[in-house]
Amino acid sequence: MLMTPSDTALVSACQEGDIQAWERLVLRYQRLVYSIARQAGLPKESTANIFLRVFRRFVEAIHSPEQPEQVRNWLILTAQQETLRAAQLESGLAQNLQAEALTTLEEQQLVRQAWSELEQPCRQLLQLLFYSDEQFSTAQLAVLLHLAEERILPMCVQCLGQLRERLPELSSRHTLSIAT
Amino acid sequence: MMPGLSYEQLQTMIIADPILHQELTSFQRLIDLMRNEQGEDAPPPILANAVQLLSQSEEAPRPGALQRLIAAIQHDSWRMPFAKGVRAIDTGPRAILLNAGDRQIDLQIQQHGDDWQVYGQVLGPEEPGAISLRMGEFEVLATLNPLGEFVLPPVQSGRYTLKLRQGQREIIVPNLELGPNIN
Repeated sequence: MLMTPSDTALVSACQEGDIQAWERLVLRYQRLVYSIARQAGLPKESTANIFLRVFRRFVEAIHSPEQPEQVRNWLILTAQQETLRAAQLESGLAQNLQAEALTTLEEQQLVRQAWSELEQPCRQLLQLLFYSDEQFSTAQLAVLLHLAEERILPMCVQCLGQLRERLPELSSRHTLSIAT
Repeated sequence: MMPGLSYEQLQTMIIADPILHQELTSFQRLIDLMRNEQGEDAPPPILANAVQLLSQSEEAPRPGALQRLIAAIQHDSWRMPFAKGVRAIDTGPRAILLNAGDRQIDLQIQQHGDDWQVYGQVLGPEEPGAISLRMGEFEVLATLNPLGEFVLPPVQSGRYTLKLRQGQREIIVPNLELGPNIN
């Protein structure tokens, strides 16, 4: 199983000036932060500024005595604050993101992060099946993944199971852990 | 070409298998989250700027003194002495080799439409790092891959400062001219 550093470990490394740890944190959350600002309906230039302001504030926060323990929650809150601030400056161009949409974005970030930590061939199989716009037959998937065609569907279920195991937080919110 | 299989067709196939069907139902929310993802990645130049924020921060700790080195140009393919009878410089991709302490930077500069793209490799001790090109307030940045290679986004012609940061070492190339004509 791939071991990926926790947010807490990455924040600690950032406090020591570890540029690579910072890059991992940014890459982990860039999609979530950018999407919160983007879905508020602001122009792309404003979205870019919000995005950079959020991460600039995050740098300040991780070096402050009250460093954020819950990185994801902190980034979501700050992205919302910065989006509202920008919207006020641009006189109501933006709509506040609905709570439900925000929850979905957060959950999708959780799933994408968990998916990125899966080993092959699960990562590729789930990407081809669920993250790709293209549609693949089981025969095509078998060729791409060097697997027997009859293994594709059972493997799909197995990989989804592995993904779900990595998402205890999501499981507690929804019924992902329905007994099978 | 093999026929494509829609997600719905896949579901139909799974429904035919009672065990798989039961399993799939339990994953429905997970699948929906993946298939209907609304997220959008930040554009690469903006992402690159965010990646640089920690190293730019005044608050970041400095366990040792930051060592700044000005790189020396060892070779510039556009500044080679002309051979007898040659009246113009080569206008192909420009190659520059820079020296700074125990590191060398192999720069390649290539025209990219109306812009110029800088890419290359840092040779020397393996260390993560980032490289940037700055002109006034404008800046682009790229991180080094494990081989020390980097590709900066294309930029307009102009006189830039190139900065490589690896750990507590900063290597600077001031006045790097990018464009069709160099002085």
